[in-house]
Amino acid sequence: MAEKKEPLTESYFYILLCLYGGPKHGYGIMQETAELSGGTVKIGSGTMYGATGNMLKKGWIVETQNPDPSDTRKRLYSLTDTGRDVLMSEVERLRRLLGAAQQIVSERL
Amino acid sequence: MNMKEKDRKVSHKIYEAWEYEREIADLNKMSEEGWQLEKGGCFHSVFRKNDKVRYIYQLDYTPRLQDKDRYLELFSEQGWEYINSTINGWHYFRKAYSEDLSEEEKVIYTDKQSLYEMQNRYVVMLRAFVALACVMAPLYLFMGVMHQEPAIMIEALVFVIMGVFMGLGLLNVNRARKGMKKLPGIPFIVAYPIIILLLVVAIIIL
Repeated sequence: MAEKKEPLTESYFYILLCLYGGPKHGYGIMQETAELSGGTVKIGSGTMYGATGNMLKKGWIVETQNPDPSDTRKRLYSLTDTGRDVLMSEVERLRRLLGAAQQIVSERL
Repeated sequence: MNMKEKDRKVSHKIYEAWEYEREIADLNKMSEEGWQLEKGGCFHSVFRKNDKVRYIYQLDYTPRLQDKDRYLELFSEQGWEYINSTINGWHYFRKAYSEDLSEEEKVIYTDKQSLYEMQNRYVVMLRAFVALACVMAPLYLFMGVMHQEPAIMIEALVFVIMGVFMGLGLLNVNRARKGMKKLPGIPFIVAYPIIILLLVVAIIIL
């Protein structure tokens, strides 16, 4: 199970979410995060380096070589099984929160 | 302090770690005036005159870079051009200025958690120095009085000044995080010469 019980930050959550469908490079994660969040979450370079560095250390993601030699970006990031567990338990936590909110303010959601 | 040539300017301005945002603001202003940073340094920065370009700057404090190649890739893919690094772990980046840049595109840290993580790398050192000064100042004062030794009392004073100097820096980091107005700190241009002067006096009279 997930080692981290604390809620993920938005940046961490979106990075894991973006990698759910397959490996991506940093710029791809940044772009997809902006799209998925409707432009509300942008992950800057420093934030991306820190977050991916921490997640590499925790074993949530791994770094792989870009198989496309014509692409100058050498690195791809992909989700590990641990990372997938962390993401899914966060989704579960968010589902519970949303469910609780829906019981109270159902007309608005 | 500035040595001027026709198109080259050297600045010996010193910024404390907790003043890095002011350094960024100064670099941006210099660029607007046509002076482009060529090499950033702790007390030796080089600018070159070029009115055709304008940049915005960012500073990052990461003394122990695990993977510099990976690091630079994540910056360059978002349009951040690497300028250089200082020996103590500050990295200078620039991006071509454009009115169309969003606020997020002008910064490298886009959430509080990661920004604080970066700042905490020097906050930890500041705390250690302030704690050291808090222990050493009374200890030296006590020893100075005990042995009737003015040199040791002067050294106690040095620890007091260091503690207040760095303590104010630390306080301002915390105030900024709470959205409070920064207090005026002791400028290094005042603190450093006083400290050096006192140490010289202490050595002479010892």
